[in-house]
Amino acid sequence: MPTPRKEYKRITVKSLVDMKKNGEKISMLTAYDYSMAKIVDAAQIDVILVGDSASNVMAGHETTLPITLDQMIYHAASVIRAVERALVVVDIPFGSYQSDPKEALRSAIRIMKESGAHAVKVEGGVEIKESVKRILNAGIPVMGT
Amino acid sequence: MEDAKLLEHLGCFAIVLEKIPASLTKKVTESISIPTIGIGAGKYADGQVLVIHDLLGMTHEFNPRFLRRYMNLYEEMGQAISNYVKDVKKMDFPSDDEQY
Repeated sequence: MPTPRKEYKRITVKSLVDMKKNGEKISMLTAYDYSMAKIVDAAQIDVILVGDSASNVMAGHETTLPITLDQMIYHAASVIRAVERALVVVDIPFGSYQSDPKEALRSAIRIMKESGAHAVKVEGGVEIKESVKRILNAGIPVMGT
Repeated sequence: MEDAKLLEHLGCFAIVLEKIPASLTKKVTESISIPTIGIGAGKYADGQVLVIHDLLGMTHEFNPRFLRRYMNLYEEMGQAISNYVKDVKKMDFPSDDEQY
């Protein structure tokens, strides 16, 4: 049963955990540029994911592998300039965190500093445990996959 | 399941579940306190995510079962753009009202 929705002026990491507690479903969509993010944010989406799917839909690659950290930062910064309410989460692209935890942290810091994103997302489980730990220890919120 | 618990334990604030059976999504979602956000993972996730180009129907070749299209922008944009081309070619655009 849908519960009465709480109004959120600005979605935070904590808002999402509250939504789960209150049984309110979370809406998330990708966006990769300013104009699209403006529309998505105004439509009251909870989370905008600047996904590595930009590699496919924006750049025309077959896979998500070729997109670079610099390119992800460009997309993320464009989205951030449009957003007033949604939580913006940015994929750390393939190759920017798998090799070692220090590189993972460096990549996460670059995304946070250069785009103004609110959180990063990584893909993987036990094999990237140390990387996730290190990013979290630096105070950067992480979404897992 | 183990990965989900590990990611929660490490301190992740949410996890995305990609193309897994709805029954597994239900189990994972009930066994962790952080939100799960699904894509092709069924109705039991705490949230849903889609690629915006798919939702708007801009990517017309991609047709997985989990996708709901809310528009058919590929065709609508194509139609609008070809109308513009026609109007330019036949000197219908710009009109007297659309110039200074």
